[in-house]
Amino acid sequence: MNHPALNRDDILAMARQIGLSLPSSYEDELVSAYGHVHAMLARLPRARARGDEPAHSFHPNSFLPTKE
Amino acid sequence: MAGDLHFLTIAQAAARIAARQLSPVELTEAYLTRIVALDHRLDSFVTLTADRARATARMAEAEIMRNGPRGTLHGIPYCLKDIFDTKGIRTTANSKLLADNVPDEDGFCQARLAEAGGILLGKTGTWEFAHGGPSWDVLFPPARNPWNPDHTPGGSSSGSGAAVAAGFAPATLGSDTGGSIRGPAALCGLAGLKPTYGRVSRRGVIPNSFSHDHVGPLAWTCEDVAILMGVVAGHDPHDPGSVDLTVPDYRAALTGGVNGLVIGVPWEWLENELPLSPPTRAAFDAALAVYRDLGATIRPVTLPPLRKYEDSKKIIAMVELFAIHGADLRSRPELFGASLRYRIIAGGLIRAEDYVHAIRLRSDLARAMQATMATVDVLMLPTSEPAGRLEPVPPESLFTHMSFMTAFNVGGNPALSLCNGFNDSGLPFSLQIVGSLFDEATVLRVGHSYEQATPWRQRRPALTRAR
Repeated sequence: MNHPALNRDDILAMARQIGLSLPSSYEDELVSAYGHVHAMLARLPRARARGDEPAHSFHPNSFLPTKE
Repeated sequence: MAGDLHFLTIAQAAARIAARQLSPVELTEAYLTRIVALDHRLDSFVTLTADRARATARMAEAEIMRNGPRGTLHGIPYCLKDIFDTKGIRTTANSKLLADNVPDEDGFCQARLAEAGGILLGKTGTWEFAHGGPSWDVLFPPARNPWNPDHTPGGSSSGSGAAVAAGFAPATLGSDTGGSIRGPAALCGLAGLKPTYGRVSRRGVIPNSFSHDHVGPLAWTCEDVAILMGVVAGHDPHDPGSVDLTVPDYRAALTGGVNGLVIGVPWEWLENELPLSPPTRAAFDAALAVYRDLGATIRPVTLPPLRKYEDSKKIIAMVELFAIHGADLRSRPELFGASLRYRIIAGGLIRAEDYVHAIRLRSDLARAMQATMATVDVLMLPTSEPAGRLEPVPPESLFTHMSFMTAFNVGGNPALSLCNGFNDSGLPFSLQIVGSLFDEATVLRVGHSYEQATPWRQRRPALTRAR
């Protein structure tokens, strides 16, 4: 699935769902900024093998207790 | 010579201190006097810790007279970007949200610098949370460029770059998530190193994007950067990204030159994707000619498009930034500067699936980067165009702008910016040298060789133009 384009109402509804109850003066900012985010998301390659490992970084040794 | 103390390099000042020809008290006073006299033109410092610096200098002087210096940095003043935690000293990230934030502990790097005997002069200006700027609606005004105060010193380590170039301190540390060490180094005519991801601890540095944040030094010369790396590089078990590898003697590794070295140039980026201006291209060609004369071979290399590196980094960073700032965006969005708010506010709308696709893309890009690095000793390209005027930039520029720096945050490779001349307006050109993972030593050696072969380290900003 390509990344779906959202209209202004969709964007503001999503913002409310994540607890962003913005003053109206900031709503234009959010809608404008999301337009640029959408352009980046639309360019992301999505056809991936199931096992295609992302560049996450969990190294369990990093969380061992340390001697002070 | 007293009038020239502020332009001594770390190496020069340390040699004089070790020979007991220069007191840390005298050196510290020279910087403090200059800051008080001239920083109103640049706004590079946001907090000056003069009394503490004088007290530390007196202690250093006494210890050095008694036992000699502990190391090269003993008795050397420095400043820190205002996102580095400093115990008992306000650390604001240039945000109204942290206007009264006074850390209880030093961060890793500040602790290392203090332990080495450095003298903290104060905290320097940053873009808000090292991400949004330049801004005029945050805690402090943006810093200005010492080569021309009408121009930007770059960001986000703006004050750090301006302060060292102006002769307010010989050493500083910055942070670099997409170019925030190398950009100010480039625009201010300094040497600035983004080390390999994990080489220098980020503990006690206010985060921007955890997975792309790097900490590193800015100074006048590559030799000084090598000295600072010798102090701050090393494993920190309290930083999950820190890597436990032997730290070489970077300063000792500066010798040897570049004869036989293979330098790769990503011409596709420079000629088609983000074409250089003719003056910057000419300065870059001249730098390559210097390396040819020194015995290096120049070879074209191909990397994935810059745009892919930018997309991957920005999507990941926006998610991480929203996780860091989401609570404040929900409860008090008006306390953010407009620039930063615009750059992070939509991060909460990025789906988890898209975030994973972005870090999958990062895997592809990092592999491609390391495969290319395996064919050369270093990559070379300009860091950026010379400094533009200091003026508000459209907030959407974060999304539309591309740079030659971000790709190396994505790959994690060490990347050094240094000065390779000046344009017709007297503003510095910049050269970026990129190495294989954890091979900062080669990067610094390549930079040092260039500095030794060219006259650019002899010129300093005059700081005569009033604002």
